Amino acid sequence: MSQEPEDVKPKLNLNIAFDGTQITVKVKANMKFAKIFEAAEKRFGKDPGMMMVVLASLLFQQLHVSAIGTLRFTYEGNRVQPTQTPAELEMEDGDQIDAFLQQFDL
Amino acid sequence: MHPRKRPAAEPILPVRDPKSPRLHKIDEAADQALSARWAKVGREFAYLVIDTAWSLALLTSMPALGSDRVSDSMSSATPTPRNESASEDVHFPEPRSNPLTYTPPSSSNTELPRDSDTPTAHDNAHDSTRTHTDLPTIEESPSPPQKHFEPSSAFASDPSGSNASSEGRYILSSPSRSAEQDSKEDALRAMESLRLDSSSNSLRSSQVSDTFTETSRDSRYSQRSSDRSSANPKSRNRRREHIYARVHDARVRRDRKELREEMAQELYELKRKQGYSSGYQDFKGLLDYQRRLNNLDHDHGLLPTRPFKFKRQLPQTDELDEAFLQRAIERAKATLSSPKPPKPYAPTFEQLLEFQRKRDEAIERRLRPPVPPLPTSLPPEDEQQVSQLLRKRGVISKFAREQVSDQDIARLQPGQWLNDEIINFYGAMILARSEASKENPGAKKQSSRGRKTPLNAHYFSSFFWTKLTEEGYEKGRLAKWTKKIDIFSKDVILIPVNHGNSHWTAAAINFRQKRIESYDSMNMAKERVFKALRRYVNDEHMNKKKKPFDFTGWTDWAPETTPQQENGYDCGVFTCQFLESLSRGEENFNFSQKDMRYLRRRMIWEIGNAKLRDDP
Repeated sequence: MSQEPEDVKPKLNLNIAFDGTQITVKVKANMKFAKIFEAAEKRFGKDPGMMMVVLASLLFQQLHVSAIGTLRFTYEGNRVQPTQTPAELEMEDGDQIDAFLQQFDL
Repeated sequence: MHPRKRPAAEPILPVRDPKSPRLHKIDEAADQALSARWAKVGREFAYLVIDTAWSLALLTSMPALGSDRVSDSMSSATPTPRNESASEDVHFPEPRSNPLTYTPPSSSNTELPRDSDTPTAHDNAHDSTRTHTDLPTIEESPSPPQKHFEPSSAFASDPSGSNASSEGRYILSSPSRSAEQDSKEDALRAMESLRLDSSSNSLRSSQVSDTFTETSRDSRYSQRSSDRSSANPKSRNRRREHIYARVHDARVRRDRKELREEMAQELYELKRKQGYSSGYQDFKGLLDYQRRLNNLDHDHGLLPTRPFKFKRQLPQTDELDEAFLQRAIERAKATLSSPKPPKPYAPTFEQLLEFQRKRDEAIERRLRPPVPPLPTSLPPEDEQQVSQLLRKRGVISKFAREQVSDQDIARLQPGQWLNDEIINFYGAMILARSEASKENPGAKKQSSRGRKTPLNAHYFSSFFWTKLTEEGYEKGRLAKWTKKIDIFSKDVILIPVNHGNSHWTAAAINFRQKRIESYDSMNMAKERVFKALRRYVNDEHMNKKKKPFDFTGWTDWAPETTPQQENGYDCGVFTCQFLESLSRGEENFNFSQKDMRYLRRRMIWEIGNAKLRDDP
């Protein structure tokens, strides 16, 4: 990548919080969230304890779902769709995105 | 007593000596006077005893009846002298020669039939014998013929009165009268003689005095006229009492009284049916008064109540009463059978209760109109659409920032659990509707036929609760969730609550009603919800308004009437419907477990079309 886009489109440091742990991702403002979510899920998925939880919930539900789509990401209370970009949501440096596991009822 | 006084009494003895010639002309008058006085004393005593007994029996037990009889005796007493005088006038030419006896005017003769027609007249002869003392008072009454009595001395009026009883008896049966009157008076005479006997024999002294007067009278009659002396033995025989006469008399009187009582009771019952509300005693008083008014034609007028000393039970009042009662009963029955007049409205206690209940129900209906039951299925074309949506793959529907895939919507099929996608999608639609109605109030009114208008609501996604409980207000950065809104200006904040990833409930912060609300289809622990939300509201207020929130008047609200689920998988649907109803300000949820199948189909349609249905 050239240096010019860095100047024109500065990177944002976004915090992604999930179950008490927080990761920081450096993203471009016009980058689709799909890519960010994939990275986040990988990161969280590397945590063995977390994988256990995810797998346990998946097994318990007896549903085969891919890792993508298992987590829900919200920004300021609103759902963030993979097709959106940080620019659309007017995100600023240091903003936090919340990740949640899929919620079920009984 | 002083012994010297004794001789002084002896000179009186010859005067009372029974051996002295009684038939002597001069002594006869003295004897008569004496005997008459004795008779008077005896009778008065007898009447005093009878009156006392009657007054005691009647005045104590039934005062109304007692007063009734007083008036009767009063009314019957007045025509007495007339009848007596008339009978003397017709059948006794002889008394005319006597300057002391009364010669009645011819007008009294014409009056006689009318008097005898009235039931009161039959006892006149009897009255005349016993009302010697009453005579002065009777003479004061305004009828002209009685004025003639006044000049006559008490001595002269005495025998004429006592004669009338014996004379009237056979004179009344004379052929100058009509046969009808005869038969009537025969019966009356028989009764009268019984009464006379019973009254005269009630005391021995009076009996003795009676015989005294009779003998003296007899002697006088024999001197006066020969034809009358022939009748004397007859009258004497009649005077003798039949052995069962008194028993019979008592029985007749008792039966009469019972009959009268029965009739009065019957009439009373009839009147009660027509709405008479007072007691029986009052009713008897009323009857008496009516009867008195009714008899104004026959009597001289509505006379004031007699003084006590004249109160006497006159048997003829019974008959009058019976006839009167019979008429009254017939009248009452006729009134009952005829169409009733409009009665004044007097509601009973039950009616009042019913009225109150109905009014309360009407108010309740006005406040909370009954919600019609939900239909069992969508319209046919919509059902078809739902089936198509269920067959669709990939992303089914997008709304705002929410989207629903086929996997999510498949959860709306019966028996499946709902996930956050469905809940949040539904919540987003609720939020959008609320905002749309806020921006376009005209359309809102048009769209909400029969349903309550959407409130100014805010919807927090299902992650709000997770954040709030797991990280708290500060760490979870919940202040940023309301960057663009002021929750304190909203009517209601709707929050889906996920309990431990296993149960959905609906919570609400109701700023209009000042309530923290929790609607749980399993009716489980809600204290945690109340506690957490109260803390959130306070923290939010501190963050945005820089001062603690005033919880004065705020209550926790978890109504018992919340619809309950009957299985293990419908709580998500219940929660969605709670939130939807709450956003409309509806507090009476009109759905229950039986509506779940319909509501699931309906939610599929709503999510598929990204539009909340307005129809119930």
